[in-house]
Amino acid sequence: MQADLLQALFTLFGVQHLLFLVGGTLLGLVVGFLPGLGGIAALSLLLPFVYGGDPTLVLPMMIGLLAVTNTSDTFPAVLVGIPGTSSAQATILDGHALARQGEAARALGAAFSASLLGGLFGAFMLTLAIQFARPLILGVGFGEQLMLVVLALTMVGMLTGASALKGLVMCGMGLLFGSMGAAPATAEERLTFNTIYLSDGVPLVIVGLAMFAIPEMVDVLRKRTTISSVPELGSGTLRGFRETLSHKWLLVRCSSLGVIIGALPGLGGSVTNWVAYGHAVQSAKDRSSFGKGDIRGVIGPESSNNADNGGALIPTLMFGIPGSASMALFLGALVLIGIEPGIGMMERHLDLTYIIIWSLAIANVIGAGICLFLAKPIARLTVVPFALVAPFMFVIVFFAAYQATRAWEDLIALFALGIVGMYMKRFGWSRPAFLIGFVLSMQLDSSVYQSIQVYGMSFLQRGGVQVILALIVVSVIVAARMKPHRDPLTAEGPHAPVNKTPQAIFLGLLAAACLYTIYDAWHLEFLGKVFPISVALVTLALLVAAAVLFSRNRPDYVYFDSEREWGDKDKPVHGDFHFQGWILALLAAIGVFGYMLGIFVYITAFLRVKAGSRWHWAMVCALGAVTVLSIFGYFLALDYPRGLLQTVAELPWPLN
Amino acid sequence: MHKLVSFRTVAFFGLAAGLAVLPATQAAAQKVDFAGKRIDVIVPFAPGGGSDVYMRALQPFLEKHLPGKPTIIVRNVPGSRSIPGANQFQERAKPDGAHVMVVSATTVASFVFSRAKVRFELDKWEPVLLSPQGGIVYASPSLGISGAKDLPKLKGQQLVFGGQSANSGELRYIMTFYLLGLKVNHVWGLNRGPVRLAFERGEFNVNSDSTPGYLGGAMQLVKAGKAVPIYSAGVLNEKGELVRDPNVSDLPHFGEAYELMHGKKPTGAGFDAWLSVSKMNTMMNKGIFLPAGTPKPVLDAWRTAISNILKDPEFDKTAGKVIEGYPQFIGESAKPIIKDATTFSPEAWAWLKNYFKTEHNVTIE
Repeated sequence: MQADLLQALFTLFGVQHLLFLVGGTLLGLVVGFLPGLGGIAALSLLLPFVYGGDPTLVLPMMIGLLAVTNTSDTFPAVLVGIPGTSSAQATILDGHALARQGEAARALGAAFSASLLGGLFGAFMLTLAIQFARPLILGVGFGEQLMLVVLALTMVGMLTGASALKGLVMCGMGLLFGSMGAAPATAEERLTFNTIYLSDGVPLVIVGLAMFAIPEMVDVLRKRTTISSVPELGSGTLRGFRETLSHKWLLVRCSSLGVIIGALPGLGGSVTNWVAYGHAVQSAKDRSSFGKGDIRGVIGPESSNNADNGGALIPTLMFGIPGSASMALFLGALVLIGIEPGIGMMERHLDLTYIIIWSLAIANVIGAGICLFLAKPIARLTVVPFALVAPFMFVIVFFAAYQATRAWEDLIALFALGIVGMYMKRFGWSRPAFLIGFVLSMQLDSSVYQSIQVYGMSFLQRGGVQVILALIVVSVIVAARMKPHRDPLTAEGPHAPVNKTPQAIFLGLLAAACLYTIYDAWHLEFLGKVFPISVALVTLALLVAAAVLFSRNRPDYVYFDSEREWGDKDKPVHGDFHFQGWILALLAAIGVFGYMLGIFVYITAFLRVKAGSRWHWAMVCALGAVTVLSIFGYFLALDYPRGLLQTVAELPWPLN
Repeated sequence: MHKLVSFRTVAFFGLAAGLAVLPATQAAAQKVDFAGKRIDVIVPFAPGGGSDVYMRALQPFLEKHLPGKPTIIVRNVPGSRSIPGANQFQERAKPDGAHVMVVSATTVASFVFSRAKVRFELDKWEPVLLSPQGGIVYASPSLGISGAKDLPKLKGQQLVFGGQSANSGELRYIMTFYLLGLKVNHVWGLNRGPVRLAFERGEFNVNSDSTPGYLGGAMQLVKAGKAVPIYSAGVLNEKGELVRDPNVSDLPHFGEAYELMHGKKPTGAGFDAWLSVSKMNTMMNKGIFLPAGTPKPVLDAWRTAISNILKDPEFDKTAGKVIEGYPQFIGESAKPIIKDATTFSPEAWAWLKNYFKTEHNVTIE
């Protein structure tokens, strides 16, 4: 075995092999960096070149690509608060908070070193698993899967914010929002308003961008001129690296979580990073700085989402069953180059298995190395006046959203949810809790139904189920005993019962959404409606409790309005509606002129009006953005939204 | 799998002979030139799925064999049982040969069963290539069976089967269970991967796979003694008769399984409905289409390119496994199948409607 392992390593260090591996890794870094594109998009591009290729060349290329998308996706997450892929959502909470304090380089340093070590850990576990893990994976049946989903859901307890009540409401709202689309048991449509677009629910990419990117960007635009509140960047990259090493046990635990969750089909990177974040909070003694820029909140999710790849390869190689969406594509490619994964992979393709493992490890080193090298210069973005950066970011976010299903509805959904996200942030309704509910909703619904359909209630008697049940109890107790660090209640602060009407309206809208869900589900079959109606009733009960506290008119954590956080001097000139209008303007520009012309008009106008650039400079910058996105569009075969103009006139590429 | 190669060769040459029109049109096809063009192919599923792999396997060969060697761009428009992708094609595609649609059994099922949401006219599109794909039903040895001959032993035993939903690609299998009189507990909302894993864990005791999926994956379970193949969904020959799947010719098809179970040949509205579903799920499993109204020279250029690809030894060697040994239908020869797959006799439709309602609580319009 060891001889084969070394043989594979020597193969990889051939010039040609290394070139393919580095090429794949670089492509992976680029698509990970660009929001909305991930391993799936890039791998599907490589697929035509894969056929008939020498497996020892194309495997390193594909693995290199998949291994590092979760490394470079940290850049936009930390610097601007935009998740580069959905695996980077949890990193935003503390990573972006650090960037705002001028510690972007430190956050990135910690993130990339955690990614590196997490990725290596994943590769190591894959090596072991490929020998031993078969019975373990076969031990996880429907009952155990259900319990794991519930366990992941208890992490919400760590992410509720100042008011636990409001956090739980948001988790319920996330579960309801996630139930949109075809019911797992009956395939009946729920909450689709009889549209085709909603019949699969709103794509996760869009929910992630709407919950984080839009509110964060508007916040920065309103509050300050730059992302970082201090003008100078600290020399942080190395410090971040050291901090990762000093939290080695957190790293090991979160990487293990990443491997385990990655290895279970159905739960992917979008769940992993939240569970790891929840665990990082749960296991910390002093939790007061989480969400405000705690380096542990970066190390946890970043180590887990890279370890995730090693985990996801376990079922892919051992059972021929993809552990994630990008692995599904990888599996398709394997079959086309004549490798049949599954039982006996070790006997039939031992050499290639080791090539895969080594490629995973080496790509993680190369990817993290490049990112560490670039961390400091790219972090400078946080000290550039944000009004210069913002129009490009809006344009990229809209581009990213459109890649979800390539329909105009993607942009409308992003806008509508982005507005909701802004008010969730303003009124202190936990967005992470909403996202956890959202990503786990369908899993919860289907695994409850499947467990009971297969076992009846007897699934509770299974050993594995009972073990996880015990962990759930522990997790709930820890969550219940947690005392979050909260601002004191004062008659003047953000938790005071002043100017209650906007908050009351928001609360009323949430209740109305619950009621509508019940009305919508009422006519469905029992198995189609039991989940949304139960969740809606519980959420409604929590909302009633919140409303009771709300009506008492004394300072309470149930009240929150970030508008009350500023003093008279630093109060921003523009209110919410101002920037909502600016985002709507982008939607309108694309709607009229199509994407390329629309963003040209928009960036020019934004730079002129908001950043005070001269007209010609604004136009040059806008042209630059159009050029870059056109080139990307050409080589990555992307599609851009069309506007009214394109329906009445034939335009040449790239304006069509 | 050597015997398959010979079948494939026979099928292709038989087909080539049948398409005597092609050589005559080859001259006309020369005039069509895609040089410097980008051809936009919509795959209405996520990357990595069967239809996606099918298209991407053909992609480099289309680039090689289409006149002018154009660049082919595969665009995935996934979701909602392929309705949005197909609607988009209907609305945007120009009949110039540079806009192409990949269709799978699911697209056909959406077209037939979800009329209200469908804005595309699949039956009017011009077929370029239709690729059938068989399917296999296998069971756990724990049920006490070792092959098709033991089918009667399954009677009365509780079977558990997992799948996506009653009106999807699994319809061709679950109808056979009903027609065989088996007692099945259906568990829905699951993709193929998790289903096979659940079968391996023993939570499901009967399962199905497309034939390529079976040969690539579940076959290993059979070798390890963890699964027993029982019957195939079979394929339909030119006369519309059910025959054995050429890739698993030692396995009885569903018609033979029915006889083993009930002691008589299958007849009646239920079996007719199943045959229609078979055309939809098996014979129209994958396909490539051009928009309605595409001019004949363009159609001929595409059809010639496809028939050249099927003859290309390079294709056979590298990507041929995506069409694995089934007869391929090019151009006009595909039309009767499409007609049959998209139109049900009133009796068969009534039977199906009742079956969906009483067995699965699903309403079809």
